[in-house]
Amino acid sequence: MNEALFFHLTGRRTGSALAPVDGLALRPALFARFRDLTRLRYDFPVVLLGPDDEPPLRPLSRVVDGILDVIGTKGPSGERLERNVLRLEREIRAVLAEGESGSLSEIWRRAAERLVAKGDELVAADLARARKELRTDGVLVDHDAMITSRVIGHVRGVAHVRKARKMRSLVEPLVVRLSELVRADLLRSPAGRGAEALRAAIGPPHRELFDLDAMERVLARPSATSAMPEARRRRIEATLNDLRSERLFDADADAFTFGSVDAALAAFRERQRAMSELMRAIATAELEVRGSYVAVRDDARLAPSDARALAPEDMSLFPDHLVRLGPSRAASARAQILEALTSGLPIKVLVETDDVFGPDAQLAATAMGLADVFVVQVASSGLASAAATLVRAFEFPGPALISVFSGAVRTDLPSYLVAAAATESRAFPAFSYDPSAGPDWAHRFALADAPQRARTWPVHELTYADDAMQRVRLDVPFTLADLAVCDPRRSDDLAIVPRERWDGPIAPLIDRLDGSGRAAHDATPFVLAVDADDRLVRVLVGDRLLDATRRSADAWRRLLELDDLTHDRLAVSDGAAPEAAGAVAQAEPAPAPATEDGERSPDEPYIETARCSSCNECTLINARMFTYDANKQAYIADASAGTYRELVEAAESCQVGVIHPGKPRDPNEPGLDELIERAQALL
Amino acid sequence: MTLELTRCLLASDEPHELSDYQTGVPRWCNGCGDNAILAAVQRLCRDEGLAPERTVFVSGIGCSSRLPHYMRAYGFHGTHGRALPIAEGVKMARPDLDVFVSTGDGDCLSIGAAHWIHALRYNMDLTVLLHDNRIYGLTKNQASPTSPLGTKTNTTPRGSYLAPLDPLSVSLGVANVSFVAQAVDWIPEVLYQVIAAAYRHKGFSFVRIVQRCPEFMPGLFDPWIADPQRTLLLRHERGLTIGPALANIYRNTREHDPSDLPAAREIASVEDPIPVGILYRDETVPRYEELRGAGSVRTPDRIRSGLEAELDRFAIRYDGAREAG
Amino acid sequence: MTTLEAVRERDGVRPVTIDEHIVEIVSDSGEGAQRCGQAFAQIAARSGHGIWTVEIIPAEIQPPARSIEGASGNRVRLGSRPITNGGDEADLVVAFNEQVLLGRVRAGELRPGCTILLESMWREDRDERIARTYVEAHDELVAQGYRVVEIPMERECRKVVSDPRRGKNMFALGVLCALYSFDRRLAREQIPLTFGKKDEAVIASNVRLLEAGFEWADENLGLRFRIPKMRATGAQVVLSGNAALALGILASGMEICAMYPITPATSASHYLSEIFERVGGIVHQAEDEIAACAFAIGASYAGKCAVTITSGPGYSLKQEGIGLAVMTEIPLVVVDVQRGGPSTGLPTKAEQGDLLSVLFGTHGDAPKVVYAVSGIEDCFYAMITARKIAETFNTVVVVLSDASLATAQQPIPRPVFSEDWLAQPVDQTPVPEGSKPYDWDAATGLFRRSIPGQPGGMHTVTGLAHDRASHVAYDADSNEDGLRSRSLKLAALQRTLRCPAVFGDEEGDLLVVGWGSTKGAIEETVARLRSEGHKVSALHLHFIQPMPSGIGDILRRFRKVITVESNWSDRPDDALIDRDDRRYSALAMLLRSRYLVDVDCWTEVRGRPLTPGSIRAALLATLAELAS
Repeated sequence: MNEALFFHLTGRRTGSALAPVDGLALRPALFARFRDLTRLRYDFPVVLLGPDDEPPLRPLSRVVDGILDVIGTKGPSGERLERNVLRLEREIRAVLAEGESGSLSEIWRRAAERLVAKGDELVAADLARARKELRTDGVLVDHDAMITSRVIGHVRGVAHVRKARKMRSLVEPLVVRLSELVRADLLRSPAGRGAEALRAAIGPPHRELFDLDAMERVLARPSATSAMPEARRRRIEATLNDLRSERLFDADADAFTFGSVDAALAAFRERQRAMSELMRAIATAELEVRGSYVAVRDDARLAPSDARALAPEDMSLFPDHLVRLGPSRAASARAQILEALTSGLPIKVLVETDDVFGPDAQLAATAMGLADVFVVQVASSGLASAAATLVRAFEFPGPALISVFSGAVRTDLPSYLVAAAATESRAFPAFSYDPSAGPDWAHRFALADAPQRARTWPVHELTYADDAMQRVRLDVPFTLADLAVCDPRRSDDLAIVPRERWDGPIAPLIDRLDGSGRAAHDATPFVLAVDADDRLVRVLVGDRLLDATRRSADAWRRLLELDDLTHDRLAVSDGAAPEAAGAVAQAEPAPAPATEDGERSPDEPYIETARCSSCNECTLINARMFTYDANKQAYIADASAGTYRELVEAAESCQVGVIHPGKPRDPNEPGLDELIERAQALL
Repeated sequence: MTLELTRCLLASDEPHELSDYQTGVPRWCNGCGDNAILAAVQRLCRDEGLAPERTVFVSGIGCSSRLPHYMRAYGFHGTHGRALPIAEGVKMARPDLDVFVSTGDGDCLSIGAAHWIHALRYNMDLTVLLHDNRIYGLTKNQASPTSPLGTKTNTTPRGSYLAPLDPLSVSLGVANVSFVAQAVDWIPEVLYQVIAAAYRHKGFSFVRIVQRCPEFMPGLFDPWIADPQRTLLLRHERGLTIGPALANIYRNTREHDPSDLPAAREIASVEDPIPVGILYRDETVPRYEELRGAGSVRTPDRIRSGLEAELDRFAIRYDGAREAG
Repeated sequence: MTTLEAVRERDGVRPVTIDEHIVEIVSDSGEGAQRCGQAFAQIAARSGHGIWTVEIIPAEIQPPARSIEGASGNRVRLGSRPITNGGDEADLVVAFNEQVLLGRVRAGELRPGCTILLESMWREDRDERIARTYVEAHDELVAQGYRVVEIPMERECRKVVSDPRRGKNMFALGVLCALYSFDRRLAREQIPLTFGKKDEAVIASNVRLLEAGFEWADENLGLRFRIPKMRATGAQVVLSGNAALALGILASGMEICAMYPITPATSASHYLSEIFERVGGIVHQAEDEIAACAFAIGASYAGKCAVTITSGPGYSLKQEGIGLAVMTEIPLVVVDVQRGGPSTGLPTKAEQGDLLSVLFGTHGDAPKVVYAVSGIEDCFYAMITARKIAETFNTVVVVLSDASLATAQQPIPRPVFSEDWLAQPVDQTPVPEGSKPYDWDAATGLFRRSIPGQPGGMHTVTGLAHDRASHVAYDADSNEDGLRSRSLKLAALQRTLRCPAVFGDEEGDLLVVGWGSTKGAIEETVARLRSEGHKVSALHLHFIQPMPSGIGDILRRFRKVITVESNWSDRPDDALIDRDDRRYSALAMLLRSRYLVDVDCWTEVRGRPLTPGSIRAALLATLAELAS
């Protein structure tokens, strides 16, 4: 049995043939292309925008494209301008890469200066032109170890400000309207119609036109009825006081950020009374303003109490309580995390992991099972494109879990690259689950766009020069195993095959995975990697890792099915407008007694109640015989309450001909024959 | 916005009944179609749980315009033709109120025609019921703008001379029109549904109700009442929902998308069969009261600073120095 | 006044000290004489003078250039004391061409022999017909004894700007400021105020033109006036009547103004539209006057007392709505800025012809409050008072202004805002069980309205006769009950009105009664007559309905009472007219019928504000009759 296979099965390297990967700084072969990220146009850096921008952060490249769209890049000059502006973008990246930091406008200025220094005045002109169109500004942040906390911190900060505004826009009008109630009452009161008040209400030069004491006497005449009851005045004044002393949002977001779930829960409970008191004040105010506060009904349920549970919609008005758990913390805090997520409180948990193979990476999938939790899973490389979703997570009136893979596995690899790779390899797909989005998974679940999503793994073309310096081109899938190459913690599952053994019984991992017969089943799977000098190496994959890779593939397919499923379903269900449904509910006419049963004897008189146009003809003939139902539509309440003649006459006079007299009950009623004659037409 | 908590509190108010909206005894003739309209409106108020004190019914002059007197709500029985501008004033001052308008073919289409056209243009959130019985009733039988050509009345004893105008086509030709529907008083279910849709529409909802006047137009619509085929029900998932009972009687239906203006105009132009249902609806038309920021919060300080800013513009001092701005 | 010293130093001209002067600036419309006049007035006011301005407006929007009827501009009367009217004939005129000037001469607006500063460019006009007419006109005026100073405005301006046609007015302003020894700094400061938001360049070039005017005057004008200042007082604002109306509406807390464009009322709505939204107010331009009135009534009904602004023809259309408001007892403020009538009449000219239709207009008995403003400051406070009365007494309040106040400008003490002026907030208090919507008080006819939103207050107001429950009621008692109660409200208000003070002695030979915008001219005249020893007094009415009690007594204390008004009354010397059958002027008719006093009247309807001169002539004649 060869060493390769032995290693594959046991994970042990015997003899000297197989070299360990440790310390070789191997990278997946496909990484070879990404030496210098600053040369690339990708999602980072991002600009952190203000609370009025939606979404509140935008990739630099998007901002630049926006500017180019506005200016237009037609014609030679347009193309030149585009070139220069894109150069500027690269320069900005370079400036950041040198560790500079600051607002976009600031960095833009420095980068532009450099280019202008190098270039001609045309460059200066183009950049100036572009600068004019730069309408947004904010701190520019690149992808580094801090990116997750910075982006999430920013998004929740924005959410906090927006909530503060919302609360203000809710409370301030109420304060005004309540004060108006008080003023209206004053003006109604004797004092309000007294000479002094009247005097104040008139401009000084006009005061000598009036004898205001006389006016007071005149106005005293209609007695001051409907003055505000004392209890109500006190209630309104107290409520005004509560609303005016609302302080919840004085503290900024940091005051609501915690290192542990327990701390967050404690803080929330501490604030709960204040919140419920404020809610009570707002509710009272809204009822008072609409004049629909009924003491007997509302005093009790709006009495001060700690017990009052806040409705989720109401809780969403208050500041989020954010728990941030770094890589080390999450595992230990698992129990509390679940407690927080099932609490129903607006507590948002941010879990940052650096190990896609570890248990934290599964948290999101687990949380989705909890149904009422907003879940976001995203690798740090995807934070920019996930901005909108993150905003929603904070707006969501319940608990939320945000699970982020940092990509910080090895100092010599850009964390962005690793994070992106984690998404590519399907190891850490980006998805979200929003319970408020709709009734079922179809509406709630969303799988973020992934490269070549139809495939189990994305396949990229790899070209390299072989020993004979011949250009070799081959398609290489990017799998969990390839990702493992970056991760020192996986070194036990990997081993390097020396070149002289390349012709041995080994096969590309993919052949083993998709079971295509090309490779013998005993062939040991390998993936391609490059070492520090960009030399291509084949790395054997241990059985454990092979299984893990298989599992990740299955997981991906499941997500994919779920997502495709949802799309089909939405396509169907979104057709019907909810309003139509409402109309149906309204449409059912209230059941009218006696008339609705299917088969009735032709002898019985009846009214097609649903078609009655409420015109009073029949009810005026005999109100005991003909009665209106809850919809003011007529039915025969008591056929015996009148004569057959009345029935026939009612039927004849009915404007819409919906009354059917049936057969006479009393054979002795005078003039029957003639009536029956007339009734023929009406049966 | 209302809070969940408040919503619960308000929701917990006891449900309304038809009688909560009834008052007085209608003085309309027996068999008058106005009764059907009144019943449908009261039914709507009940089903939507409207608070009587926050609901306003405005009307002009004519049989139709007596309706507010029979609603237990706030009402304004105005002058001939002016119901719409009055209602606009109410809505502009108090966008928090639900405002309905009852008007007639003479009130709306003749003496109030200018207001009608411009009300469509303002597109304020009003629910307008045109009681169109095609005759002047209260003044005792004169030709109205919708009287069929040749109608013999006290002012046209040898038959009316002019072709009637069509309220639907005219409405559909006005800029900013956002909701036009038609119902007939003798199909209560449709009448109710159309009025309900009109009420729910955020904007100027114009409902023409073809209405019988047994007194001065006896039997005018009998052929239509007798023959359901002469009523064209407009079907659409965003339009009427035609229950089985209705479907059995009225088999003459047509699929019509309320967002299709040309089709709406074509339908409006047909008199026989009478089209009923929602001809046109566009929720996107801006509402005048919103464009004008009606109901914004006005604090004394806001007014003070506004005034001071202006006075500064004209300020002088006799020592020649300008006022500090 | 160091700058004045400087001026004197240089050209050695000794300023003639005068008590007051009337200055006119006239041009073809579009040449900016209006702007020049207003700026001049502002500077005069800020220099410590009393001022009053009168707009000179051609009837057409764009009359032909250089036409006699095309005169457009401004009259500014400035003096060493508060000025309350436009005065008589002009003492000095600046004219941009001789034709518009002739227009003023023919209209008899110029004092014989007054000074005329005339643009002289026409002399060398290429079109020799123009040159000829100019020379003829010039020589004629000189012959008539006018002191004509020709100024090459065009040429001088060309030195400063490329297009002198636009900017001549600021050059003229400079000349005028120099002429009246105004402080240059003040004058310069006025430019940005006059041109508002315009950009720096515009302001700079106009300042240069102004300076050029100063320079030219220094070098060429051997003439200077100096008007003593008034004692320094507190902060003032210079407002036109219509601007004051708009600001008053804002300050009254009213939220909605519904209107339809009509001259001369519209400029109030223009200004209000500009400023109202900032304080959450709304100016609604309705589809017609009737709709505007109905819209305002709807808003008032809903709890926010609204105002509608119009002029005569529009008022006629609003009568229907006003009747409705009276019948339903919904508060409403109506402003009628009167113009010449009947029908379309004189759209831009002043008249007081609407009084009777306002008092008695609309069919049936429709009691309403009528208040006539008598000055600029009055325009501002009248809006606050009107709203308060309308809401307190559930009534319609009509405020009468007119074309002369609409455009006239005057400095008034800067109003000090008080929150108590504001409309009462929308009241949503539940209405107690069993209270009736029209619970008329037996003595005052007053009651509490309940408005939409007030639980338990549901009712339907109606223009039909109704009982206290607001149910339609045709029975005799309900009908009389309603008519009586609505009328009683006027009696109630009357009890709260103070009788206006007599200007002059409480008794004497002749009492001159006036109302509205004529106050300034009347009292100026009466003061002068009194100083000449005549036993004349004046009484000016603001509330015309209800009329304060005590007026009858005042009338009876004078040998003769005469009203002075700007509306039609039969001329006694016309062949067919005699005392009994004469049609008296509006106020005279009222006073005669109310107090059974033989009140005479003198009226003029020449489309311009009454002048002290013409009033004086009339009163002297009346006094002469009395004496004989």
